[in-house]
Amino acid sequence: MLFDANHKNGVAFSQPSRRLMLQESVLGFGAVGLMSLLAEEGLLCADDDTSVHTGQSHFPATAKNVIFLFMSGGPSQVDTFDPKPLLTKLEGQAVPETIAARVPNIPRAGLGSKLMASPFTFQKYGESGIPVSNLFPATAELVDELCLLRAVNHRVPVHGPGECIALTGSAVGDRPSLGAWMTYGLGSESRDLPAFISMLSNSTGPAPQTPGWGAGFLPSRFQGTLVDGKRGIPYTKMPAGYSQENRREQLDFIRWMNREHLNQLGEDSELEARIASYELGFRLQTSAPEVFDLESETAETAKLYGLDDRPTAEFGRHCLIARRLVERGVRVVQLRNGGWDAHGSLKGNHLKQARATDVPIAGLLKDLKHRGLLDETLVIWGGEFGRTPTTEGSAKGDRRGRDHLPTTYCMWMAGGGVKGGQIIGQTDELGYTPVERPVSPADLHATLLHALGLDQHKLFYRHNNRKEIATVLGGEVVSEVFG
Amino acid sequence: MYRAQTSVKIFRQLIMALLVSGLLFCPTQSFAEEVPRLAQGLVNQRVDTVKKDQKGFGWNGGWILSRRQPALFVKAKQKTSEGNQRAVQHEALIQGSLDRNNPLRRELQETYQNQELFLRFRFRYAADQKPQDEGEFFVFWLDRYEGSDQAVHANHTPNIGVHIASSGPQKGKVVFMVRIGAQKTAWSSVELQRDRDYLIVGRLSKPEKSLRAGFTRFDLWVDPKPGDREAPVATTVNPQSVNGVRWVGFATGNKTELEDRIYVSDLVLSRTWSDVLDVSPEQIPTAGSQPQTAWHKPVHFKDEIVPLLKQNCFHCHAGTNPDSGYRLDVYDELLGFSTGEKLIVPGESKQSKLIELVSSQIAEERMPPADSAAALTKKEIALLRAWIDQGAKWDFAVLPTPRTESDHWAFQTIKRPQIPEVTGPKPLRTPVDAFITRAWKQQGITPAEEADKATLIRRLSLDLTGLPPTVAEVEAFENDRDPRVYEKLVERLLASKHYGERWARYWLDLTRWAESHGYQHDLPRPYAWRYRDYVIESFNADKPYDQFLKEQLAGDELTPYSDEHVIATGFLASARISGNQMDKAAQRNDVLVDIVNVTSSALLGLTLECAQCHNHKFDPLTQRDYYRLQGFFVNGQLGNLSLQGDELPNPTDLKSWMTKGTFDFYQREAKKLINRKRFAHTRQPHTWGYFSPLTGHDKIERLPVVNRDPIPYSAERLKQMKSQILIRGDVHKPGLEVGKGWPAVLGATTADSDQLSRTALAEWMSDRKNPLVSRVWVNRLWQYHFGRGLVSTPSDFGVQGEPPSHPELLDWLAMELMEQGWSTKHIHRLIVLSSTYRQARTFDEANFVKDPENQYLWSWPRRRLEAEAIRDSILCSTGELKRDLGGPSVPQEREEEDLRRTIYLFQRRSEMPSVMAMFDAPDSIASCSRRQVSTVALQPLYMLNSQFMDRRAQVLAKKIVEETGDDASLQVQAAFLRVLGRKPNHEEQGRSVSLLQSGSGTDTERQLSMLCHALLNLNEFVYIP
Repeated sequence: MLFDANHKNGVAFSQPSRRLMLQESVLGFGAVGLMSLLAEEGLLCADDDTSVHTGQSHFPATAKNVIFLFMSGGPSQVDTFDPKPLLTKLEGQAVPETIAARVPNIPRAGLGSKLMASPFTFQKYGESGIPVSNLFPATAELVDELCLLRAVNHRVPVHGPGECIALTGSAVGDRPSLGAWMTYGLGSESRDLPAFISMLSNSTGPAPQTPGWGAGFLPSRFQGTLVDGKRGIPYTKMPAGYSQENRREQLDFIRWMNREHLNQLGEDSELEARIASYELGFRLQTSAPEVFDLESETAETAKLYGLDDRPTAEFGRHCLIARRLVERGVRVVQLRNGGWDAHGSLKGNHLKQARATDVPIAGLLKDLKHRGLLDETLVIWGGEFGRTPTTEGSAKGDRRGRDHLPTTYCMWMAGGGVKGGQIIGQTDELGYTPVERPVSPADLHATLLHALGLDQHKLFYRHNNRKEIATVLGGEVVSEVFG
Repeated sequence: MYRAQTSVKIFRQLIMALLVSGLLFCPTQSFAEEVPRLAQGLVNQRVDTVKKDQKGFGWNGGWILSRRQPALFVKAKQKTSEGNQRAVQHEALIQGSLDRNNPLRRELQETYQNQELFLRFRFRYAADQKPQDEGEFFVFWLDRYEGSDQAVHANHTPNIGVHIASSGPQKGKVVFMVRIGAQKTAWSSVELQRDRDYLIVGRLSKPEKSLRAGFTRFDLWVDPKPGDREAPVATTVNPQSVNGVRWVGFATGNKTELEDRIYVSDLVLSRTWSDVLDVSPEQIPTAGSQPQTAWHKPVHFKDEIVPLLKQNCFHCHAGTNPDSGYRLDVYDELLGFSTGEKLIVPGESKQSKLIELVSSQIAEERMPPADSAAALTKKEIALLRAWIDQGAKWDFAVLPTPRTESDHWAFQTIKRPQIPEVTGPKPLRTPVDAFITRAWKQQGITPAEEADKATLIRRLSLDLTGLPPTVAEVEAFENDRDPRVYEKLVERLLASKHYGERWARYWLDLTRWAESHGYQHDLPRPYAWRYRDYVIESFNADKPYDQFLKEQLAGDELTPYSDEHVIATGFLASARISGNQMDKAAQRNDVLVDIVNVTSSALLGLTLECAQCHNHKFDPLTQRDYYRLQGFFVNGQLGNLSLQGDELPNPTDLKSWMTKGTFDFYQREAKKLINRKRFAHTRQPHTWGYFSPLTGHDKIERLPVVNRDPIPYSAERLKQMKSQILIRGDVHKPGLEVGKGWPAVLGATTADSDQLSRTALAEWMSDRKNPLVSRVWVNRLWQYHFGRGLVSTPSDFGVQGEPPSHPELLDWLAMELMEQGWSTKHIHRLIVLSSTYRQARTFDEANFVKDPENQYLWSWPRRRLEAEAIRDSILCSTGELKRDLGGPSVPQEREEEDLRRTIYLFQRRSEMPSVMAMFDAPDSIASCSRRQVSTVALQPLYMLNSQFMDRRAQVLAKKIVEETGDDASLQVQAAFLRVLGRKPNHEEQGRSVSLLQSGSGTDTERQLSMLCHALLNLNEFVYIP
């Protein structure tokens, strides 16, 4: 067919520009292709006449790339970055009425249970003196780089919808992921790699929510490419028995056959795009393994990320790949680390989880900084919610854990124009609810888009005749983040 | 934190003693829950600043002072306001800190979450030393949280005080204002005067009585009189606000200067207007005696109300489909006929939303909107009130209730158009050609030549069965000299059982069918495959489309009973069900919404989903229409439904048709439910369907369902369910009860709601007068053949949809469908037998300039195969395809053991088979009327590198070697024939042979598999030629 399947968005381009666009953006790469599409559709323009030129963001960006360290399951705020001495004092007691009264009426807030002191100790680090628990000794050393958000909150106490809120702005799971919006807004700087890559580590606990890297109602080329950290981009490994020469000959044959076929039929942009996709696929296949092959990294670097140590090897590998990806112009890298859902044995769980991630994360930050990439790469850490200051159920001793708590939880941001060494937001004396500067997922998303130079209200996509934006109903940029 | 009380330790014991004795003397009942006053402070320094637990005052502890710039308690000027019983002895003096500061804050004993909260405080801004400064900022805030000294209580938090107006007529002046977040500030017109005592009163209120609801409205009065309750000087509304108040405090900003002196005192928080003003309830003038214009004479609707409405409202609120969604020129609409939301209550102006809107103090809320017209005068409002209070009499001669009608083409009944009498460059093989040829002539288009026979058999086979022809079939077709050879082929393919497998898939796309519940847990529905088989069999049997719809909409009602009909309700039952929605009303409503949306888009081609929350913006469809259609479904529920099972296979080995992970998860969840006695495994034959205990057949037993937290099933409850408009789509705001019916624009509903069943709905759909159902279906068939429908928006036949490219052809086909027994295969024949369909694919510059989108079909609109057809074609080429029909699905992880057609791969919504995810298969969440065709680099990688593809290529190579031995040129020929259905030409032959021989040392069969693999990747292979 000679028309676009997405014609509802009002695409009406001339044949040559359409062809150019298809060739340029077959992989979802190339802001050029995207921007020409957007410019023609007027999609990046707000209602006023300030049309946006191709390849430009709405205002100066402080970050070019984003690495999202998504800690799935819900790390406990009072055991990580929000120390609560009163919790230790009131260990085993009921939640004082003054604090319980503030907790919004949501299921599983654990108000009927006994308070549980953190099994971890806190210490102040860096010039900023921000306290960090002994779970994260390595990350703690870099605390002056971190902007800690202590009062992130929403109202969904369930993993799946919570993960969807955290990553798509809505609990339903039918909207584009934030990464897809970013890719839609800015394209990629890499011509050989997808613009948005998602990796999953530690598959224990709640299943990953595919909307977290999906394209929702955006065209599917903006979806995150799910990559296996060991094997790299799917299907880039040739079947046994193939050499590069075999493949090249095979591709040349395919191209020649496809060209002959096209010549018989005359002009056809869709067929041409498909021909081009084989070349791009080949480039991807050729360049991708290099990205995922960490042999070229020095032993020192490998050690920095904890690749030499069994517990940290998997996540360390992902972190190192993340650095390699942003180095090569990949716009968004999302590393999902499962297993934080400490309903029981919180102490053991969080020790294990932190053991697996602390060194790799610190390694990533140091390495980015060392290479001058931290200035343009925004790293963000956090889960879909936090955990109750009370223990869950009637477990005893080290078998005690905490239930889900979305009313307040910690996240941190670093690099990419973020002012480190600061804390934004405060919680009550037990870490149940925010008492200052609450931040919603929409606020957070607005802030991340802002860092990339994107105005949440100007970046829209028309879907079912509605102007949809990434922050759903709009959030508020947490401007203090940028100092 | 510096607490004031630490500085007055000396007094503590004394005060405690006083308090205890005070308590003893206070009659305890005066502290019962409903005392109007919640708290009072800033009256007496001792009481205000000392921590105490005096319940009557409702504070939890004393004032907390800022460390940065604390407030000072100073003796009050001996000029207390008249009528204030409690003498104010002290005032708090607040000064700026050139930064944000919370000099005073205090916690309530209990979080206040009732519907209304009144507050007052006295306030004086001492004259500035410097007359001109930057403006002022001083507020009183109410929040859930205390915050720190410098905390900003502005984000969605109610503030009341003075600020420099940033917009409106008072812009630049320091005025009293009220706000819930800076974006939602209401500036009063009261300018701040220095050295003047003010009594500031605020009312914070919730739209409904609910602990969870936010305090979304904040009203401000300055020095109010008791009768001013309905006349605040400013009001703001923000849907995002706090839902409880625990802490209050005063705040200064960086505009508040060090020298500024602000005196506050006499803070009262209260439940009532009278208490906050220190008057008795009797002193509040009643509404009747309020100073409003009295209206003694009868209001004349035509002469007084109509002109008023016309002048002020009708610009946006009259006529068909007003942009606003509300119309005031129709009496029924004022009573909420289509939206469920009453705008007037005759006789009760105070309860009338219309009055609330025109008299609102909130600029954003008031009608007419501030930016388009002036507010109504008090007299005009009084007139409207009087009209309503006098019964809202209407003159239907002046403003009659219009009949719902539309001149939109798609809503008109279908008349059979004349077949054009034309001659053209091509033979007119079916009437389709006559219509198409006429358009060619009108457009000056020259159609393409007829495609060659090899192309035609490949095209027909792929199009009708989704499978390429075998080598033998191609040869037989090419060699058959019978003039009716093409017709014979069409008949053979339409009779093929594979036809149903191909065309059922389109239907399953429309019905968003899958074998799981969707949402987070996405638990499987083990017997959902029966519906998939029902659809396949129905297509194969060419079941009349009207019957097909009736079974799917009303299968549980039809008599005589048949298992097949119960299975057919899988159409309605393909809706998703959340497994962790604790709001059961919402969980149930989500399913109903899903059913209505899919029924209206798939069968009627209407975008009715908009009308779930508001009247349709473009089409003459109302919320009433939406909920009346929903009315047909409210008495039923999805679930496992018993079957009699006499002629049905009844496999029970669930494990064999799901992936291991899915099955284990299902078992675990089932076990939990079994423990709670909410589920039991059964070997009784059953299906996944929809059943209404009110109208459904007695034989059908509804069996429990495995879901994390299922929708409770109660036959009695379901029987009682009624359809009500949900105001703005909110499940917790039911409005008018509306009964059952179809969209009014499509004709009046013929019977009373009690007599209407889903059978009646289905019969209405297949009535000759129904303008949509037949048009929508033939248009879909056209689209599936040509890639694009005559109407290119196949599920939107509304005003916003595309008009048909060949309107008469569409209507002619729709008539044919209805008059030829609703036979789908009849329509296929009319299309595929035409000369139009048999054109070759060619590019023609002249045609392209005239019709770049090829909507007049001057060339075969080649299109990529769908995911299923790609995989099926591959399996056909390798000869591995298992051709058995129906039965339970195959999990993808075990596909190699059972290489069946892709439609039989198990379809869990969150775990779609990889080939489907790769090639744009729908996600089974909403009805999909047309698949996207994306071209991304992962597709070639999948096609070249996946294990599935490599295996196929190797199998093919092995078969070819077995067949042809090691002669390279024979191998090449066999490979071309098997994959592309044709022999290679000379050059292709040469290049292929050299590809085979290029491998240095690798074995020849592997080399051949590389050639086969290449062929399976060609555009020629994955496009319908």
